[in-house]
Amino acid sequence: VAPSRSTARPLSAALLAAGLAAVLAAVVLVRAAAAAEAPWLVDGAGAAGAVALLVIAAAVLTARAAAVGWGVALLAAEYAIFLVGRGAPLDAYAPLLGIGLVLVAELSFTACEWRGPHAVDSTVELRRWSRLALAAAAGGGVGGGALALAAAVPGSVAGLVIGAAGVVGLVGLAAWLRASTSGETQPAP
Amino acid sequence: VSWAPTARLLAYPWLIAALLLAALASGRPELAAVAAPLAALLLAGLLSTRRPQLPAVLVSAAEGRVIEGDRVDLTVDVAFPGEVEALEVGLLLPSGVELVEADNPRLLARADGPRQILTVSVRPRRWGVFALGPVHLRAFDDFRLRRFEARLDGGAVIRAYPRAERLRTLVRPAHTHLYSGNRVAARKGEGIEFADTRPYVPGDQLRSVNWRASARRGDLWVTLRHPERNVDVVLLLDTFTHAGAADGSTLEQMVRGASSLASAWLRERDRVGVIDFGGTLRWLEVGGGLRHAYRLVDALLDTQVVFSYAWKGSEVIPIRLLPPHALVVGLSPLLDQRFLKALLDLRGRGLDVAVIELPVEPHLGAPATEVALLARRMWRLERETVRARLLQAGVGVAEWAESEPLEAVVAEVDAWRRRARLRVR
Repeated sequence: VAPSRSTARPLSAALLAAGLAAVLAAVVLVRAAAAAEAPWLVDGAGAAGAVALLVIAAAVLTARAAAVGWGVALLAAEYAIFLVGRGAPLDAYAPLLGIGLVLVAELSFTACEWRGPHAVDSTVELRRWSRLALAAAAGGGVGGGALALAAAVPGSVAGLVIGAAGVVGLVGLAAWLRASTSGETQPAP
Repeated sequence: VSWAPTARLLAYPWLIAALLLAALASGRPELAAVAAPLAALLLAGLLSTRRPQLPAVLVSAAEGRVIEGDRVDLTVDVAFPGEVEALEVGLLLPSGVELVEADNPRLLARADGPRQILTVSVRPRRWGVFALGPVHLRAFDDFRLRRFEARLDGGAVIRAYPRAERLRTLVRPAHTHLYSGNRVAARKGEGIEFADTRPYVPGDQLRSVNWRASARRGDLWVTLRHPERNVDVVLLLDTFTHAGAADGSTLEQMVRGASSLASAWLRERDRVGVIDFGGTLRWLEVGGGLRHAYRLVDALLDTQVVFSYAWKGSEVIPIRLLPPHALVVGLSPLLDQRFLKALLDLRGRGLDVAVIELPVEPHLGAPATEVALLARRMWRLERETVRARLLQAGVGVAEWAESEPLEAVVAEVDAWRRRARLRVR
C-alpha cells in the first residue's frame, strides 16, 4: 500500500507540465517567427503562447483541473495562428505537436489530482503512463496518415464530412457528460 | 457504484471538437492531425473499462470497548473487484475519532491479490459511541477518464468510555442506608468506630463490655460503636442544554464528571443511580456492584441534550428513583430554569442535594463592545444570584473548571456542607 499525498510528486508533475508547455510554446513561436510574413501573426502567436503558459501554470499551482483544458486550447490556438501565417505547405510535425499537447494535458491533470486526497501507487501510475503513451502514439500515427491522405487528395469531401460528423458527435458527448455531472458528488475522506 | 467523468473527460471532447472545427473552417488538416492523439486517448479510455462490481468490504475493530484516548486497531477487509486495476479505500471517521499515523485514503493494487486487508489505527478523542465508516471506495478507468465511487457501511462500532478521575474524597451524605458499606453511620450499633458507652442491660453481648470503664465505675458498662453503612447516591444530569462545541462542551465534561463520581462511589460499595433530566427523562435506578457499574457507564454514554420547550419539574421524576435519604448530586451548567427549579423542589422535599456547576463562560467569546461587556456583567450577577439561592436552600454548589481536578471541587462542596452543618429532614 503506497503512502498518499507526498508533496514532492505534485510539484514535480506541475513543473514537468509547465516546462513541456513552455517548450511547445517556444518551438511554435520560433517557427512562426521564421515563417510568418506579417509581424502581427508572430505577436498573436506569442501572446497566445504566453497566456497558455500562464493558464497552465496557474491551473497546476492552484489545482484547478477545469482550467487545464483552456491552457491546452490556447497552445493549440498558438499553433493555429502559426499555420495561418505559414501559408500553403502542410506541416508534417502536426501529429508530434498533438502528442505534446496530450502530454501537457495529462501532466497538468495529474498534478492537480495529486494535490487532492488521492492515494498514489508508482506501479499503477507507470502502467497508466505506458497505456497513455501507446494511445497517444497510435493517435499520432493516425494523424500522420490523415495528413498524408490530405496531401495526396486535397479538398476531399469525405474528409469534410468525417470532420463535421466528428464535431457534432463530440459536442453531443461533451454536452451529455456535462449534464451527467450535475448530480451530487460524494466528498472524499 | 456511481460514476462521474473526471476533468479530462469533460475537457477532451471540447478540445477535439474545437480543433476539428478550426480545421474545417480554415481548411488546414494539420489541426485535425493535432486532435488525433487526444481523440485516440478518448476513444481508448471510453472503450477500455466497464463499470466495476460493488466490492465487499468489512470493517472490524480489535476492541469494541475502550477508554477515550486509547488506540484502537481496525481492519478493513476488501474483496477486490476485477474490473479495476487500483482501488482507493478511505474510511470516513465520525467527529471525535482521529487517525493515528495512517494514510487515509489508501490505494490497493489488484496485483497484490483479490482480497486485501488494511489495518488502520484510530483514537477516540472523547467518550461516546462511534460507528466507524462508511467506507468510501474510489476507482478510475485505465485512462482516468471516469471515476467510479461507492460508499459502504463499515459495520464496526466502538464504545469509548470516559476516562474516570480517581477520587479519594467524596461528598459525605447526611444519612446512610441500612446496608453495610464503608461509611461510618451517625447512629450507634455494631461497628468499628467508637461512639459511646452505656450501662450494661441484659441481652448485651459479653464482647461489647468495656472492662476498663466497668472497673472504674464498679458495674458493667458496654461500648457502643458506629456501624459501617453504605449510601444511596443519585446523579442528576442536566440535559436541557449545554454550552460549547461538541468536543469540549459542558455535556462532555458533565458525563466525564458523572463517570468519575459514580466509579468512586461504587468503589466504596455505595449504591448509585443516574437520571438524565432534560427534554427527555432517562434513568437507571440505584444499584451497586460491578455489573451495575458497567450498566451505568453504558447509560452515561447515551447521554445527550434533547431540546424541549415543555416545562417540567421534579414531579416527572418517578418517586422510586429517589430513595429515602439518598444524596442527590446535580451536574449542571445552571443555564436552564427548569433544572434549577427541580433542584430546589427536591431540596424542599427534604432530600440531601449538592450541585457541581459546569462553567459556561469559557465557552463564550470575549465581549466585543461596551454594551456586550455590560450584558456580560449583568449575566454574571444573575448567575451569582442563582448560586446564592441554592446555597440559601442548603444546596452546596461548587464550580468545576475543566482544568482543575474534580476532587478539589468535591472537597469544596463537602467543606461547605460541613460548615453549614447541614441537616436534612
